[in-house]
Amino acid sequence: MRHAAVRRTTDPSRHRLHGRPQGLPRALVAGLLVLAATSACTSDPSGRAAPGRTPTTASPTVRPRPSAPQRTAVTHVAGTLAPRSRAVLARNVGRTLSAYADEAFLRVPYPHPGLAHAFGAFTERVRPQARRDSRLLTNAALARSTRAVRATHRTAYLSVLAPHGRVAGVTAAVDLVLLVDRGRKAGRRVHLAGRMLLTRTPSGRWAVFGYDLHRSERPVAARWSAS
Amino acid sequence: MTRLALGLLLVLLAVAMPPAAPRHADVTLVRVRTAQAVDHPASVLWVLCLGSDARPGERLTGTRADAIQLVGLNLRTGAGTMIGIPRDSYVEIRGHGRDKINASMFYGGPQLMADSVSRLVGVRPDYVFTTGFLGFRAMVRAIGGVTVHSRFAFSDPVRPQGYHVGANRLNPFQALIFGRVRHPLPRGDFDRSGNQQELLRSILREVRGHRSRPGFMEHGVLAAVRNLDTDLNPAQLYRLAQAVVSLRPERLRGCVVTGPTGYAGAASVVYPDVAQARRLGDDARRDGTLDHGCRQG
Repeated sequence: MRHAAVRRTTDPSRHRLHGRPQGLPRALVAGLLVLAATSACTSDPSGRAAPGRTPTTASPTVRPRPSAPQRTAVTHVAGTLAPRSRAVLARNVGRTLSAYADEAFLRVPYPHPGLAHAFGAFTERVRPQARRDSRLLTNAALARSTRAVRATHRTAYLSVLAPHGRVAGVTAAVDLVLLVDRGRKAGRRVHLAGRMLLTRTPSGRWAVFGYDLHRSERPVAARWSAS
Repeated sequence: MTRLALGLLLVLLAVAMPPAAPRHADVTLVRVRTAQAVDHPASVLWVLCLGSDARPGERLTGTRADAIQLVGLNLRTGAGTMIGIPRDSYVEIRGHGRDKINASMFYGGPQLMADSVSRLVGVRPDYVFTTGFLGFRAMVRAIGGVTVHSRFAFSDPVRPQGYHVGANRLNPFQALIFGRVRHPLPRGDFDRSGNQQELLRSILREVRGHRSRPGFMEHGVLAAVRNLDTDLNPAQLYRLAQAVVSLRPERLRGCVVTGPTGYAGAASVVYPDVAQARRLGDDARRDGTLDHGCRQG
């Protein structure tokens, strides 16, 4: 199924990305550029370099910023769920969704040949189909030309089925905006949104057992990666 | 005048937009690609959907079944089959001799009902769902009503404007009556069974149309948990519901087992065309899809 859709740009970081920082003294800009050219870049907010990532040719960039953190909240409950349980659920489901975004887009050594571990947060039975959809669900389509990926927006609002006060299933309305730095090539803004369906596995962790997602991309001009 | 306006527009564009400069519009036209999948243990499911005629205070599975639909679902292709069985079908019920098929529910609950249906059609259901009048209405209420496409026009006091040929937006009570009436329909029980299939299709259409609305699926499944008699736990029911919603209503094909009517003693019965029922079962058993027509030779 394919759609053409008119979408209003809502990315608040867009204006910050384009062009050189205004009003900064030239010396400071030059200093930043030197720093950018000599330091390794990572989209990991912890600042750790991903294994296998190697610095490439230096070029003018703006200073890299860490990825936006995953924000997860319970917004609808069918049944009953205590406030404390809601917080625990949001944290645990957020962890699963974070793991997916990290493995599929963010904490990946670029450029790289594949995204073999992208679907570790999915149930075993849905993984084969997810692999077939990997051009939509991961950064596989852009991986070879990607230098780094940064999330500018990561939210998940949870609708919960909880009859008798016990969670039986969760639908996460996810919204993920990523900036893909492709070196000399034009960068891409990737928007992935839709529903991810989660169930609790026998081991107690939450896993994605279904998805209904749409993805759109558009070019962005500036580079933000410093590697 | 038009040419002048077009010329002006082109000039404006040429002046306003440097040819090589990156441009960021506030409104963009983008190609959106979609992907969807739902994991369920089986790729083909058979579900026996029963509408019990239990009155308030009666046990749901201890009375007769008014509506009997054997539904095959192919979760891989999104296609499905509904085989309607007239409730008056006169069949052999294991351990109880010949009787109307809906008496199986009274004699042995959903298990015996599943047994009688599978002996007739040759397909054993994986699940049996039973709901009553109140439960059905509660579930339709949970999804905000349904739109059915009726093949017949008929009247009923619950719907002052009547039921028209074509689309009818129904509230829960009107939906229940649509699946229950048979006297105004040309072929009585057979057409009623067809209407029940249209109701199932309309519920699927409604749920699919709203499934992205936050909380919609969860409230719908909660209504099902409260109003269905099933041995599935809520988590299993949730996964099944999410899988069923991936089906496409336009690919849900319905056939009704037919046969001559007559009397068994004083009771009005249908002598089901067992050969037809078996052909339908054989056709759809493996992939949940009917490749041939309802009569099949």
